[in-house]
Amino acid sequence: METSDERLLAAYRDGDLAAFEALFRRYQAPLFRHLARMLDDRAAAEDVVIETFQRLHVHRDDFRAGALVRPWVYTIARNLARNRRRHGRLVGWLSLAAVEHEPRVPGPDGSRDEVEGRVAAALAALPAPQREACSLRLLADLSLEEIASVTGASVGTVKSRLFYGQRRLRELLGDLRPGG
Amino acid sequence: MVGRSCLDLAPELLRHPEHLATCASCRATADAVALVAARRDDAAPDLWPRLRARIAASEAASHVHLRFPAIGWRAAAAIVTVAAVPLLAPEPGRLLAVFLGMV
Repeated sequence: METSDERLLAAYRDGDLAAFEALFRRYQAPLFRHLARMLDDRAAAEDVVIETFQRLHVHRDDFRAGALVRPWVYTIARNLARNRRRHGRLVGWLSLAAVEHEPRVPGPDGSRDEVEGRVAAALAALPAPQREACSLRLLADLSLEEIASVTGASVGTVKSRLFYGQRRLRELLGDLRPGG
Repeated sequence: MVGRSCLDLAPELLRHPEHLATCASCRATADAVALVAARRDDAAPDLWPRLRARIAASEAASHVHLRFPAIGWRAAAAIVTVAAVPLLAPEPGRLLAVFLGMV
């Protein structure tokens, strides 16, 4: 049975560096993919992933017993990403939402690059709250309650954002088929 | 089962094969969602070496101790004298001018 995130963090607090590495490797890929979608910048996403876990390292003793690691990680990442936008280092959430993204027509063979481009453009075309909810749900596999905790919204609001976001994705990607 | 508002009533219907088999609208939404979720398999960089290096650097920086160069007693006396003159001399500006040969 896989060791829980909370037990790994507790082990790290007791000095087990291997536990921290295991925890980091569990999160780095889904967290990176989510941030890359939200920031539209792979290099920035890498920086935020690293900064997030550096914060985790610094504040590991502040983690409350009974709390969950995953919402904490994504909340830290969210705040760091928003700080970047505020400092003008990236074209972040709001500017992406304001840009018109015309979905590209895929090539005759529906190549993977074309599908990737269409998916990226479709996500970028969503309003920021819907994009965030869809990314956390579909790319990071967070539960509705976890998304609510990370974003500060109610579960009902998260459901609504997912509903309208997924419906818009259907409109933009309806001509593609999974597996492409 | 109602078609257009299925997901509004029950979002989990996206994961029910029985419902998707009968509802074209939800099936189309599930297909779009699957395209996005498939990006979970995209390659991600290995960032552990960078994180480990950054934590090690911050740990090392927190242990830096400031050290001042050693000075002899003559240099120490000169420093004290220069610092004390403005406090003890009645007219430090005049004293400085005399010192510089301007009077």
